Amino acid sequence: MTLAMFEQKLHVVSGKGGVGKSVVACALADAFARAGHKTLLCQINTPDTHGALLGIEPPGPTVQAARPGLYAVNITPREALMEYARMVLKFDTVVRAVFDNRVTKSFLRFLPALQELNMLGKVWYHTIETNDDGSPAWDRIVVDAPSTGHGLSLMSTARVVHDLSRGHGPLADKTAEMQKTLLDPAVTRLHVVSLPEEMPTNEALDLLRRAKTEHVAPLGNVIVNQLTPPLFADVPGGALDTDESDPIVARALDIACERKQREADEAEQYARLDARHTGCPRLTIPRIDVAPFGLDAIHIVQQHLGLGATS
Amino acid sequence: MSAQQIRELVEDKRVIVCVGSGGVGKTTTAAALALYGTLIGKKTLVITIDPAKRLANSLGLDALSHAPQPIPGARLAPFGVPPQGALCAMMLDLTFAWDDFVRRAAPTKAHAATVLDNRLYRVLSRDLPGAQEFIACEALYTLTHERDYDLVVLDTPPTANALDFLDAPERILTMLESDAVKMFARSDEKAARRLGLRFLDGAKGAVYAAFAKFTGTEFLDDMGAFLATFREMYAPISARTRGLQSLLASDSTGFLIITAPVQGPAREARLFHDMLHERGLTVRGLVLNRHTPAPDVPTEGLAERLQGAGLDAPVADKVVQAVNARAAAHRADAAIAADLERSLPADLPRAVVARRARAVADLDALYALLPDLVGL
Repeated sequence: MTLAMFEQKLHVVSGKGGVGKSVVACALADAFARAGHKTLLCQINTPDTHGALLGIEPPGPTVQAARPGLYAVNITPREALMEYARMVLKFDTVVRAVFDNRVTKSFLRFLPALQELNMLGKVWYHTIETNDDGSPAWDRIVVDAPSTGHGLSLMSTARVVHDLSRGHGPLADKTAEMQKTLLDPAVTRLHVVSLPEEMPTNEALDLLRRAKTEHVAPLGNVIVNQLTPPLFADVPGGALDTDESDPIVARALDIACERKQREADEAEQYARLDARHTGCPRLTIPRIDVAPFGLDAIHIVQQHLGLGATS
Repeated sequence: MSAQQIRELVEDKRVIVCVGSGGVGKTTTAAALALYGTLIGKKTLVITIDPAKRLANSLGLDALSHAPQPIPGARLAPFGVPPQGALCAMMLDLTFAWDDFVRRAAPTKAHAATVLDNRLYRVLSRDLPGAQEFIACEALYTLTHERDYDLVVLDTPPTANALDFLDAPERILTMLESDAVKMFARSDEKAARRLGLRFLDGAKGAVYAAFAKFTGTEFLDDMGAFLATFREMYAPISARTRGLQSLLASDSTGFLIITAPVQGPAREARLFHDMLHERGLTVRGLVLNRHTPAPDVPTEGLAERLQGAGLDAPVADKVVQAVNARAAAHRADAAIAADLERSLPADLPRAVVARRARAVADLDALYALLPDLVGL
């Protein structure tokens, strides 16, 4: 069931800020590439986080090879629009004349729907991109999407613009075509990352609900990150209460009690993300305490996602 | 004694803006600073964007009201709040705030209604990059100027891009001033606009034609109609933006960067610092939240000690594991903190707030943060 959710072409990763979206996106992309799939990993116009996580050059606005089978890009609205315009307007000189124009620049900057549409459009284009022999250019595309609200609005852009264009004109046709891909469960999955804490869990549940009701994208896995491994779940509280005068023992027991408390609090949030409530398979990554957090840690994450080197 | 310098900040400033990446505890820190402001006798307001439900409840924000709610004196009394100290909290409802702003800024009621009814308005006021940031700034400006708070603490919205918060007001202004917008807003009547375009100079005509090629003309027409009405609010938006810029740059405002020992956010803290600096805004301090404290327990012979104190061997073993895990978490956090330390100016005041066993969910827990946060 788990693996089935990773077999599609396009994987979009979202969740609240700080939950580890980049870590999950990098783990997926690296695992896909090592499994022999030609993979493209996309950041969406953010300060780079992928370089350090994967030990690669920080990705730029054009697709570049990171290592065999793995390619990376940091999609910016301007570069995405230029690429798209080149396809529509055909001539590079015309494109430059139009897009280097001062008027156009200021216009583009405030037209959010168009900016996001172009970034999403670029992602979509890669899903249908072909090689010269007609074979698909990419086996897997992983998108490290913006956090909840911004991620939803990015993924909803095609629908929103389709509505705004009143269903006809070139923009309407293009967005309809994009929607067909983005809403196809055989192609696209939206994975939601959370922590076993109240706010990230609220946002994850909200994201799942809205993704479903607003037809944003077919849902994939719910991924709970940084779970404290339960050590004390079956240890009764009384077992840690000793009337102790040894300060070292007292301090150790304090740490154990805090841990037991945290495990209980996390369990409460973790249960809210159970597959029975969300309808999505739940995967769990324990808290991994290494710094710097690089490729070795990414490999541990992959093991927990069922995507380890040996599987 | 860095936390003391954060404390002086709360004592000296009228406005404190908490900036930082998502998920680092901005809201909690803002609320704790506001509580301290109240304790030293200030009439304080904390503006939050999206507080956790239990924290919101503890601040008296049970209902979405989009107005400052006073926290009853009886709930503050146990902390020794002096008579002149008062704490209000407000949850910014961004959609409501935009509608409210349009009603206040539009020249007439009919005009406000036209903007609010526009099909593009809903999308733009929610999705325009910087729209949320603009309205948070606007609320900060209005509340600082129109009410007599001694201290306002602002928790900033989560941004897709760290730059958005600072640049949003200016960007909206630039947008309304731009030739392109003037061009598209020139007329909201289709026929007249078409006629007008025919006489536009070549460059603008070419731009329009190029856009129409992939947006279609109807989309551009709707956009034109929206911009024509929205531009009418240029003067109030401009006044607010200028006022806010001088408020943020003023000596009575302090920026605090909030971060956590997590690789991404810690690197972004450095980015925030540089960006504020580039804009001539001074960062007054850094708060590093959720730093796992060292266990301070020698693990050698610990299992035997615990068994000697009467614990069963399997339980003693788990306690040792918990101590080891705490030590590993502390080492990882300390490594990131040390990196952060090296990348920021040595004289930047900073406070390190220890990670708690439980989420901060009430006034007692907020109060318990103050020794770490402000050296109380």
